[in-house]
Amino acid sequence: MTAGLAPGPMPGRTRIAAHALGLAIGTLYVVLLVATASDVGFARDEGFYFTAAEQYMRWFDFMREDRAAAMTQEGVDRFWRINSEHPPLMKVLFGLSHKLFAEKLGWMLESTAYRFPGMIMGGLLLYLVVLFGTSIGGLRTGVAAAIALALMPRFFYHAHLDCFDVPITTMWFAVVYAFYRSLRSWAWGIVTGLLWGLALATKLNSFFIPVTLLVFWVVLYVREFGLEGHGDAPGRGRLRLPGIPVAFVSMVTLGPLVLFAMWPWLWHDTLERFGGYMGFHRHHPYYNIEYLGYTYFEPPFPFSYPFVMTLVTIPLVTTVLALTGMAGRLVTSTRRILGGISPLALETLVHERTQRGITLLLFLNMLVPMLIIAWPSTPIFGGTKHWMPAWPFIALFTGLGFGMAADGVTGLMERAPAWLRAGAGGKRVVAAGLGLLLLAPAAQQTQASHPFGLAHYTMLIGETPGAADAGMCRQFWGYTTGSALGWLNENVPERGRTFFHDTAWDSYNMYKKDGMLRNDILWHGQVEGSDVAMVHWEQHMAGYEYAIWTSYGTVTPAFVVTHQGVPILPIYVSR
Amino acid sequence: MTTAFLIGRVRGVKRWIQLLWLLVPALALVEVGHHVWIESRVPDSRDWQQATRLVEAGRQAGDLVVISPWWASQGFIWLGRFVTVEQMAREDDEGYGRIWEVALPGHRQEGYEKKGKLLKEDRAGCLTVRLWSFPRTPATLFDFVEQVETRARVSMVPSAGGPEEPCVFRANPKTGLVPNAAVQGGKFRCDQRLAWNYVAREVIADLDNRPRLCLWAHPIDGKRIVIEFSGVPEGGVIEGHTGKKYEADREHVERPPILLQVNAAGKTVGTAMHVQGGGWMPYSFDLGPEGTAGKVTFEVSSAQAGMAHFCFTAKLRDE
Repeated sequence: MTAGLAPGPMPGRTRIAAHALGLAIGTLYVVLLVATASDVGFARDEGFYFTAAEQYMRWFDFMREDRAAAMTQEGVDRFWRINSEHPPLMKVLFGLSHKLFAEKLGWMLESTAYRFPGMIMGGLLLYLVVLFGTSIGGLRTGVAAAIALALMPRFFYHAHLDCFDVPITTMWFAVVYAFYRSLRSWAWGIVTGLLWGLALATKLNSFFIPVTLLVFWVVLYVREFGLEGHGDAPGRGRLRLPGIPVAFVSMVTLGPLVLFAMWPWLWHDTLERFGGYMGFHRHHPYYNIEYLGYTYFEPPFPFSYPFVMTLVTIPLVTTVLALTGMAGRLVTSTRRILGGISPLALETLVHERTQRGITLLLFLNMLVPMLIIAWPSTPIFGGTKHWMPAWPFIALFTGLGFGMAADGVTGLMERAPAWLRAGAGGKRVVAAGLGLLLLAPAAQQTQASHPFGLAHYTMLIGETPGAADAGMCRQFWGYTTGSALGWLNENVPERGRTFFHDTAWDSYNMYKKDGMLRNDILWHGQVEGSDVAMVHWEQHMAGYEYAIWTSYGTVTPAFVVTHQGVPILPIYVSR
Repeated sequence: MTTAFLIGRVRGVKRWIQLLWLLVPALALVEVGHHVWIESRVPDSRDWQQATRLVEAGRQAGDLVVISPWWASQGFIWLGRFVTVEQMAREDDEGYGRIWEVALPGHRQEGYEKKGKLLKEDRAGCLTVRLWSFPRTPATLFDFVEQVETRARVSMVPSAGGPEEPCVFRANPKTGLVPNAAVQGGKFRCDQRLAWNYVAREVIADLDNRPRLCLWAHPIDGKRIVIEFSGVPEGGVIEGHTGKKYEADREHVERPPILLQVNAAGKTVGTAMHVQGGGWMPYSFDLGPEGTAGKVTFEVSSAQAGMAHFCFTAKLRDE
């Protein structure tokens, strides 16, 4: 435990309110995600994880039948080799959820049951954001931050999926929150290590969390690093370090143990397989990503990519409030550090003393995930999901900015004519009204984006048509087939051979399992010889559409899925 | 000036700055309004149908129909019946005397205003239908891409000398299962063992991922691909474009250029050079007083044929 640094405990009533509101927001979000899940088509990676989750569940069945055989290398490899390039935690949860909610209880479609743990992770993240936000800026900050995050269109899209991007965002945030709490409590230090272990078992991004926390610790305690002793005193020259946080010890020891315990694939040939896991990502092929009219497919990738993409995919008011919150925190921190200049009010000073380092912690965790992708040699696998761990921290700044704006606007009321002035209750009403107004664009954008989350852009670039003009990526992962199922079911001829382009085979199968796609519609792996063909429009895949024209002898699509008038999925029928 | 005066001024400025907080809710209203405005500019099927009726009513044979911006291709659900694959994959807009432009709000084709004359402009819901005329369009006397299957003889000639190896035309099967079936009756097959070693009409995606109907003529190490046309009319200029398939042209690697030597009336009139990453590159060769003398030959070669997914167009024009 590191004395003198840490958040103060929230007052009792505030704590209860934060937990209650956090739970309510998180639960409502999960309900909303479940209700809208079947609108969102299956992304390529989801298909792979459906299959992997099913395989992993078979290993558990095998365990019940023959525990000894299941633990052998052969027994492990038979079920855990599939998708061993990603750690297992979420896939196991996807599988368990499927077993319970689809197979046993029959409450959900198969796909929704697989996706459910990802949705829970989205709801859990909102709950944590309320708690963290409340601890740094009050209940208003926490609630505004959570809603701002929930209403980021791309976050809303990803929160539907049986993928790892929202779960790792949750785990990253949970580790940072626990670390923050651990600065006052050694028990939270232990929790930090366990949570990091779970993060390691979720996705590769987790390796960057300790780096971020280490930078935070070094910067915050830079003055306490030094050399011991003076003159000829004994021990002179020894390195002087500040107290090592319990969380670091816990992370180093418990983190790898949790990963190892949760991942049977590592139980045999551990080092070799761990090296293989790392190597897969170190040597991962580069993907194509369109950005400002050019498809990047090899380094150097543009440094600006994550920053510009963040600006043009998050609602503008959310961004402006976040910038306001950042500016506010920077001003406050600077004034605190500079001491005598523009001293803080006593109340603020007391608050700041309990929150030493919070500005740095938020900034680091917002910037590091983005800087990793901004590094020109880092592969950009698609859109915004790879720096999504930054977004809850952006949302916290939005919450802080909202607090400032609410204070600013209600403060203006004091100067208003007498009939306009309101008491404390009236100010609360004004602040709530302002909250609704400021969140309205985010709600509107999120509603408009559904179910085309990866295609949607916000005001700064002129929404989706502006993005098409600017040459921004319209989609990846082939998920938009889900928006054409109705048309396909009505129009594909009986036993029609259909070229599904970027949709994964496993996703196609899931559409059938869930009864969303007619059972007689056949998979056809190429344009030539198909009866119906579609193109998930991406710049580097335009050639598929030309192949359809020249094979079918027509440039007239039979149906086009559009978003805000921008073609997403043209479908052609052979003459 | 007294201190009290200064403090008063500072407070006055601070009050005005406080008013800036009102910009935040104002921005929220702007963002909500902007979204409504964006949605109001999305054409629906009735708009497209209305635009289609306008085009249909005034369309003449040979007219080109385009959509602005290029990405609004859902319009071809309705307008596609006026457009052929060859037109969609045209090398450029030259040669069309009249062009119908169906445009989304705030969009128009760059360059039409400079080169052409706006004959009429109508509204179709939120779409705009414009008819452009291009009076000074050079006439195409012979399209080598169009005529290759009937008027060309193709062979490979070793660069170091040796006998010519004829490339034999093989018609595509009539099953419709062949790539490029709509623009290609068959291929001049050269070395049967190399799947890419042929000459044929194809639609490729160029470096900008635009469709281009052109003559596929992948060079081969140590040989020249020779495409010989006879019975070519007289004309003033041979012009066209060179390009490579997107995946091949975009690579950031050093590759020797691909050469397209054009011979007419028994002499070389010019050599187009396609450099790596060149995109869709125009060329134009003046034939001079000798003209074509009925015979034009294109010779394709490269010092290194790897990833040389080369394609070209050529037209004989009067000027």
